[in-house]
Amino acid sequence: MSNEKVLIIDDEQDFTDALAERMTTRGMTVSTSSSAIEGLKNVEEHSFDVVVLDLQMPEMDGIETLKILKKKKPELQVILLTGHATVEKGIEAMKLGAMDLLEKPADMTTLTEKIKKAQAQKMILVEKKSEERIKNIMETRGW
Amino acid sequence: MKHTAQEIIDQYGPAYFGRMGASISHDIKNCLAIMNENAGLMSDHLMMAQKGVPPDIDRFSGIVQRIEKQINRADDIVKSFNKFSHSMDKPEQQIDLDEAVGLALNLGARIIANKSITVTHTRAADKLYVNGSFFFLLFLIWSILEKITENLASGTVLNISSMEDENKQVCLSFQCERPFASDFGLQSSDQILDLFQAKIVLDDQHNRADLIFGN
Repeated sequence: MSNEKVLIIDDEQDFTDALAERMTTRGMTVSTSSSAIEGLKNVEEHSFDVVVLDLQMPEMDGIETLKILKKKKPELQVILLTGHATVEKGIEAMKLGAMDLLEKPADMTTLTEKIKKAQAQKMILVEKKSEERIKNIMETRGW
Repeated sequence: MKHTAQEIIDQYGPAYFGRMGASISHDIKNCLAIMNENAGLMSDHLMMAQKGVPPDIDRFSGIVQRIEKQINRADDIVKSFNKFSHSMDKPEQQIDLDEAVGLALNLGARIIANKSITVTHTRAADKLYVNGSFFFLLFLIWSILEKITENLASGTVLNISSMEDENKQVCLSFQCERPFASDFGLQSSDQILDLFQAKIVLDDQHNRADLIFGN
């Protein structure tokens, strides 16, 4: 069974509760945050593979949150959820490093597939980073 | 320069209608998303029950309640939008001022929530009426609200209350603990103020604006 570590950030608690329970049933380890500020704090304190992030939230929106997340943890994969996906928003999100942009209500099979793909992508990035670090150490020490 | 109602509608109507429509459709999508996840959750539980896991009645009841809550929420949103859509039906009518404030707030609820500003509404003890176009009154209330909340810090509480002032004129008061915009030079608002023979009076501390109707 897979064990993707997922954080859902959305201000609609009835949404995050139900989505988290469904994802847990599918073998994922899920945490939830009801605001961007709480979500960023959660990311600082815990390790996640994927963040499922609402685009429109009070105080700080999804795009702003995405920028901070990618700056703090570039390997972290972010899937944005939005009520209305537009091409412009999609392009902006991708440019900022989002893995995907899905429209609400999202299909669970699609979302699960995207999360699995995102986790695999994160593993590749983490491995690459490790390889580079080892290469750097070897070069520094003249091995 | 005086503008006719038709000129103002042509100039500002579509933008206001579009803005509210976008905000409302976003809220409806959120309701649908919650219903979708809870229906899916119910389906997951049914599948588990088919595999022999005893169904948890309390869990089912909780899921049903969440779906019902969203149905009511979506119904309220659609009712507001329907009222808004019909606000252009009559060029002039007698309008319940507090009903207009309530509708303007419902329509822009998401936009206000995104600014993290709380707006409270204190209704007058007796009904107060204004004569004019319902659509323009909604637009006027919204324009003032947008102007006031433009530079307000998140967490601010703004109260809107309706009353009759000392001159027995119907008045809508926007008040908060912090100062807001120093002027109301909104072209669109000025033109609509003329339609209601209304004026905006800003107090010295710039934390209260009274919309006083002349008709």
